[in-house]
Amino acid sequence: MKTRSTKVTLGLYTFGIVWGFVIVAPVFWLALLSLKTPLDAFAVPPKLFFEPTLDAYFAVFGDSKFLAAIANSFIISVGSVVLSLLIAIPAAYGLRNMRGPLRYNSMLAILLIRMVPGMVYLLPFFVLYKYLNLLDTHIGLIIVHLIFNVPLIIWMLAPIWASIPKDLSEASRIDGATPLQILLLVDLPLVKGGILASSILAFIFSWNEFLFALILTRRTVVTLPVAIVNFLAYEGTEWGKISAASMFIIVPAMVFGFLVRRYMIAGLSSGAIKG
Amino acid sequence: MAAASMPDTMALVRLSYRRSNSGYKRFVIPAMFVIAVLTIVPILMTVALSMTSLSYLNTRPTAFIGMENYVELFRDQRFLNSLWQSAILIFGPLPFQLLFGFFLALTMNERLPGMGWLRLIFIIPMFFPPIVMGLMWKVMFTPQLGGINYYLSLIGIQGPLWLGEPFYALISICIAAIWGWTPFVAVMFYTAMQTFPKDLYEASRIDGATWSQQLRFVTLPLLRETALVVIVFRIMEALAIFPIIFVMTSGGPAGSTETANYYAYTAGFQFLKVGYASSIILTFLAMLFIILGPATRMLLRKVGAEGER
Repeated sequence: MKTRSTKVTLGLYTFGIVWGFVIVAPVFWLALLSLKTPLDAFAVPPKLFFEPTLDAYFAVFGDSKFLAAIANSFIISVGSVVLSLLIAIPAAYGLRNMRGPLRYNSMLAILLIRMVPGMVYLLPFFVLYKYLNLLDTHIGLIIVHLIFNVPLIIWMLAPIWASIPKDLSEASRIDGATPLQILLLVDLPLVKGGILASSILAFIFSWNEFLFALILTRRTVVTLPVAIVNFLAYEGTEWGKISAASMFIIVPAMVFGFLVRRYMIAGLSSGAIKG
Repeated sequence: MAAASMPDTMALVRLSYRRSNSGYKRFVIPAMFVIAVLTIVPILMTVALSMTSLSYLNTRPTAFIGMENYVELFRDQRFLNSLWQSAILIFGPLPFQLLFGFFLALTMNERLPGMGWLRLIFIIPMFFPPIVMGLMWKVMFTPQLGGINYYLSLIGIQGPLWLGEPFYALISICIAAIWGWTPFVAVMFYTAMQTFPKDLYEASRIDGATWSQQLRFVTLPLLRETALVVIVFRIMEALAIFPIIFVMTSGGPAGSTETANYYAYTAGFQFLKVGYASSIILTFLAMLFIILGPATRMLLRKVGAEGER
């Protein structure tokens, strides 16, 4: 009995380490590639030890198009998070205080809408934006990102909000505070951790989003994921630049992601339209 | 008498709901309005577009053509192929994601030295931009550039031209999908496992159950509901591999990795036949909902109950 359970533990441990290797190996490979010269990149057998060079990083950061893409990605992600928060926080607050089928059906409708593949929204938005001259604008992309970020934030905040004690807001209500006063003065300070976590997750989704950015931008508001793909298409596949740029886009997503990993489940199970 | 008073009670409950909700509705209405404008309106527009001949290439005026796009769709071999390929790319990686995810969750559940770090490593793909995932695997499968075929040759296996042959291109994308979304399955299972009552394991251990018996008779039955949730989400979101297909194969070679939503993209934004593309994506969406209908209803009831808390 005892030996069997040790064997099981060892087996699981081994599986975990192997899987950890499977996860890390390709990322490591990409990181190495970003430090190789083009000659080393295609060497056979592959070089694990070589003289690293930062040429690719200098090339990427000397590229004005890439710098513009960083700015665009940042503006669009932050803009969409701020706008989403303004819409989603009152909604999550209202839904938390509502009861009965109205609340249930609202939560359901929000979830259902998130489950629809992005391509369904993309075609009409393209037609509409073409007509309204919103193609290739920051605000155009910010608006589209609301489709996934508003439901994400509502669905993440709802359980967090439900977990804080209701006594304080009840007491303020009896003292004659209006719902708006309770939201701003009593509840908001209590859920600020949850708001931060959901903002970060929404930021990551915007930062990583590819499909909408690919179609709804042209030249001026290209975001990072699209800019990387452009290295692939136009510049004769410069793998050094592609891998260096990839490293740049991964790192913020990773760092922020690790910070909010505890809240991941709520965010992820509310679904993500990415394609 | 009791039967007659029932509806009255219900009416009272409803009234009390209405009264207590009335002050909060105005907080929810703006969000509902925004969501409706951004989603329901486009969906209705897609339905309308799918019945037109809208194309940005031809100069003829756009006409209402009823169901013509849909009729053409089922004569379009490329569409039928894309459905088959969607099925492969949705259901191919799924069993592996479930199996590996399950054992990964069991591993995460163990208290072992270094497990904190290992858990961090496991969830890396969850924040990974899908586009970079695609680029990374394209690198790995490109001859010379990625080491895969070299290391396979060391153990005597002649690696195929991964992205150059239809069969292996599909396999390559499946591998990327397994890498990318197994952690999601694992974390869902792991979270569920932490809520399992400890005394059940305790009791079964005292009864002399072995580890595999515990797995079979305690863990797996408890995981059934979570597994359903995971499967529905994985199927609905499986086509989020669009960016991966986009960079790894662009739907090729010879259209062999083109999924339905990829074909909708090609038809809509490369051939610029927006009307036809709308009918493609709507037909696919309808099929998805029909397949997932019963499971989704069950899931929504469960999720709805969670939202109720």
